[in-house]
Amino acid sequence: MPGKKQRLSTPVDPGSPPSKALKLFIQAAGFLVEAAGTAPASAMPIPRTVYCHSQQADRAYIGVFRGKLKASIQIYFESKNNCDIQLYRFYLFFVGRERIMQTNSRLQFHHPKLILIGLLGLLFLAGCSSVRGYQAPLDFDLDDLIKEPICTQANIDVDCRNKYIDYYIIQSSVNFSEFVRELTSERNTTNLILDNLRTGVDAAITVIGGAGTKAALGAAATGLGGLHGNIDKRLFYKKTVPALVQFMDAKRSLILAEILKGRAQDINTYPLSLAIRDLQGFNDAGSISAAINAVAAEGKQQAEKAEESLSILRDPKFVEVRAQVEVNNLLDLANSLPSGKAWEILQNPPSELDEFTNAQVEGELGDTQLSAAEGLLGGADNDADAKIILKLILSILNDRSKENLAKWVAAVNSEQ
Amino acid sequence: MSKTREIVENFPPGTTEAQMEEEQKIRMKAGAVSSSYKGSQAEGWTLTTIRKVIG
Repeated sequence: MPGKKQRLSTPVDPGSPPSKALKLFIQAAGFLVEAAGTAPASAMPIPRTVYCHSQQADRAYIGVFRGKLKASIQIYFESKNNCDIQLYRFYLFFVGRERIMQTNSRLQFHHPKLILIGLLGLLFLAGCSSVRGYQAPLDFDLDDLIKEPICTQANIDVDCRNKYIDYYIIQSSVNFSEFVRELTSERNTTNLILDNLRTGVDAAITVIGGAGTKAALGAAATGLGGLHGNIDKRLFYKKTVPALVQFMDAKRSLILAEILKGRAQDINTYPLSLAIRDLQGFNDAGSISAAINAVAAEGKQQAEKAEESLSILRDPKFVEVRAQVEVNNLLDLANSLPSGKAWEILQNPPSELDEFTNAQVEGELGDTQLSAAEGLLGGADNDADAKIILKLILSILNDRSKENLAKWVAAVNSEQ
Repeated sequence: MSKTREIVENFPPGTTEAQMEEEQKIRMKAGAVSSSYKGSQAEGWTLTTIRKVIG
């Protein structure tokens, strides 16, 4: 009986939000119940007296994910069957079988000591998540779900799968919001991020695209440069963490879209096994290492693009009609070389290749130097590729002087 | 899908479009996937060639 339990009442001014941890509690529970009472058609022991007001989320901690969570909850409530199992499990997950009541701007707690223990536990767990560098793993327990009334049948049907999906999306989203909240608290994680960056991705970060992120992670690179000196950790943190969170959130959004797409499909097209795989990916995307890998991949692409866009300014003599005719003839000669001869010419070119041509040849060989390309260009099997490289050289060779082209003509003719 | 590389060559003002067209043909004859130029005789030209990576 609620009336017989010890009760702590505290006035709450609607304009002054409660503490962060308490706010998280209220937010989490607030997602569950949209109106006073309990879920429609509830047969589970969820107290009808429980009413958690859905307070405006603090954007610094959970607000950016609220949209996703609300979408999940909306799906949750739109399902045909009642959602008592998840609701109750979710309720237990956060409230720990205790009750939070908010009525007319007053918060009322039952068993305040247990609530306090719960809060301390929550803070402890939240701290652990950020120190690890990733959020808490999802605990897939199919047996538990099947035992519940929503999955009594032996076969997993669409309803069961979707409730399973909803449950873990919610769990992961709340875990992630906890994780982000802890990341933004500047506690214990600066060194963790530095350690991750030290693993070799720091160079890639400096060439990342996207002005905002580049600027933010540029600060990270600057910080790394001063590892042996004094790092302005506060600045480092302020600049780096939001960028990493942005990457994590972007990746999670992509995976979430795939999951929701699968959720609308039949059980054969999107079986539970695939859903679990995607849910794990969704959860794993919420880690510092995943974000840094994404940053590194983007940086690598930018670096490759930059490398592949090397340009040269040609001399007017390069396009003289005489030179163009001679190059055209040389290309015809190269095409008619017997098998294996192109590679022989490439091994001993009649004149030194200029830097630009050398770089293009090396790039086309997948960063392999011409002198070490026997595996790619040697032998009859690779003759076509050897001719391609020879023709590349002839077409872009910067020195198209009469003398130089004559050397190449002589070399090609000698192999005919 | 094969990886490709882009080669960018700039040609000085005064180069005629006929010369650029010839350069484009040379790039294609040398095995390019595509080659295109843009610009003008007054301002100069940029020839962009896409080639497949062998390695």
